Amino acid sequence: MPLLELENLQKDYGGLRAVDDVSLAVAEGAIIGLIGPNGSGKSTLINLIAGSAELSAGRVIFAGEDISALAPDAVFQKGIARGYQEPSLYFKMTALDNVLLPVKGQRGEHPWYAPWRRYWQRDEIKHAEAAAAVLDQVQLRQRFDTLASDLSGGQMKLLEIARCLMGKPRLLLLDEPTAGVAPKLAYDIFRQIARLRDDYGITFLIVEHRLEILFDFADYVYVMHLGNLLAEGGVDEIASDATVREVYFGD
Amino acid sequence: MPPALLTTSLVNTIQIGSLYALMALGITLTFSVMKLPNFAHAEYVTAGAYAALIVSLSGVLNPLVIMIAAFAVGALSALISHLAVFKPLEGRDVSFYTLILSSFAIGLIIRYILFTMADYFNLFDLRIAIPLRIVLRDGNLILSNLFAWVVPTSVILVIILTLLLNRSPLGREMRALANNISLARVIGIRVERVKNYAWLLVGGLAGVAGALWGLQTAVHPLMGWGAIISVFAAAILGGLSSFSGTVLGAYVVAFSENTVMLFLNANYGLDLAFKPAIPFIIIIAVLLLRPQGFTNLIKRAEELQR
Repeated sequence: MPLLELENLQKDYGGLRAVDDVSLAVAEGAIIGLIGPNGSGKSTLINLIAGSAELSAGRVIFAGEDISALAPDAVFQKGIARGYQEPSLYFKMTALDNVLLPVKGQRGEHPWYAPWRRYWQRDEIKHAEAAAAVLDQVQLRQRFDTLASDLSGGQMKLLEIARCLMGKPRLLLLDEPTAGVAPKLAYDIFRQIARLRDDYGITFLIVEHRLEILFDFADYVYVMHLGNLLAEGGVDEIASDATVREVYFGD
Repeated sequence: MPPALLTTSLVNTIQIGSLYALMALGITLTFSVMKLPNFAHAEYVTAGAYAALIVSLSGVLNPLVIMIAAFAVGALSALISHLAVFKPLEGRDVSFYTLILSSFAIGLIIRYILFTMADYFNLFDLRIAIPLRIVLRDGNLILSNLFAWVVPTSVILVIILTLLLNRSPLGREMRALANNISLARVIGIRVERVKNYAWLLVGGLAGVAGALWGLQTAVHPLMGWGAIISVFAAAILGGLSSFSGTVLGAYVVAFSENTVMLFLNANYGLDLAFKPAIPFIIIIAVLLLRPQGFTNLIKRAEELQR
C-alpha cells in the first residue's frame, strides 16, 4: 500500500482551476520528485496535501486514512511535515527554540505548570537533547543559540528540515529545498535528504527546479503542466520524454 | 507643590501604576497573540473585583483565597467571551473593526450582568473588607497595608508573566502565535489550545487586578470601564507589542495622572477635573508622534547592554 495517495484532486480559485484531477501515489521510503514549469500547480498540490488549502474535490489518503478535511496542525500530528520555498522560520527565535516548537505533549505547555520551572525543566532538557540530536543531523548543532535570522540561506533550509524532523514525520513535503542556495550547498541538502531516507525511512515529496540535482537523487518523478499530471516515470524515462522536454525546456 | 502632597502622589503613582501594568499587559498580550484590541478587558477586571468582594463578604478574609477567586472568575469570563464570540467571528473571517465592535458589545453584556447582580443583591460601592492599617510612617511618607498588598502582588505577577512568556514552552508557543499564526499551525502547534490558555491568563490577571483595586476603592460595576482608557494608554505607550514598554507605560500614565496633575493644579491652577483627559492626550500624542511607543527605545537599550 502506498504511504500517500491522491485521488482526483481538484482545486479551483474562483474561475481558475489550479489543480485539475491529479491522482498519484507515493511509496513509503521513496524520494519522489514533482516538477513542472512555474504556475503548473505544484505548490498548490503541496498546500492541498498539508491542509493549508481546502480541496475543491478529491481525496487525500495517508497511511490508509482519509485526511482530506484536516487542518494543518492535525495533518502535522498525523506525520506529514512540510518545508517552504522561502524559509519559514521564527526569525526572532534561536535555532534551538525553532526546533523545540513542534514538540508534542510538553509539560511546560500547560498554563498551570508553565510558571513553575521545576515542573517542566527535566522534560525540557529531554526535548532539548532530542532537538540537539536533530540539529546535529543537519550540522547545525554548533549554532543552536544563533537567532534564525542570523543563519545563512542554506542553513535556514536545513533548520526548516530539522524542525520538520522534530515532529517525527513519515512524509516530508519540500517546496524547492534548494531555492536561493549556492550549487554546492544544494547538493549537500539533497545528500542530507537521501541520508534521512536511508537512516529513518522518511518518505520525501520534493518540488524542485534544479533537475540536474533532483535527477541524481529521485526514485520517481511526476511532471505537472497547467494543473494536470503530464507524465510520470523513472528519472531516465522523464529525462528523455519528448512532451516533458517540450513544456519544460521549450525544445 | 508641598512635599507632603508630592510624596502622597508618588505613592499613588506606584500603587496605581502597578495595577495599570497588570491590566495593560493583558491588553498587550491579547493584541499580539490574538490580534484583537479587547475593550471587554475592563469587564474582566470588574468581574474579578466582584468575585473578590463576594468572597470577602461571605466571611473569607484570607487574601490568597480572594485572589484565587478573582483569578478564576476573570479567567472564566475571558475564556467564555473568546469561545462564545471572538472564536466564531474569527472563523467567519470578519474584519478587524467587527472584532473591535464585538469586544465593546461583549464588554457591555458582562457589565450589565454585573449591574443587574449588584442591583439585586445590593452590592454597590462596597469595599473588600480588609481593615486599613498603617504599616510605615516616616516623615511625609505614609504607607498602608494596601500598598504592601497591591504593589508586591502586581510586581510579582508581572515578573512571573514575563518569565513565562520569555522562558517557558507555553510562552515560546505564544510568541510563535504572535509572530506568525499560519506557520504555527503548519508546524503542529495546537493553536486553539494555546489561544485558550492565553485567554485564561489574560482574564485571570485582569481579575486579580480587579481584586487588588477593590482593596483600595469601592467596588462598582463601572470601575473597570473607568480605567480602560488609562490602561489602553499604557499599552499604546508600549507599542501594543513590548512587555517592558507596557509596564513602563503603565507607570508613566499613573505618574501623569497623579504627580503631574497635582503639579499642574498646585502651580498653574489647572482644575483636577481635567484628570480624565490625560490618558486621551497621551494616546493622541503617542499615535501622532511615535506610533511605535517605547518599543524601539527599549530594543536599542537592550542592544547597548549586550
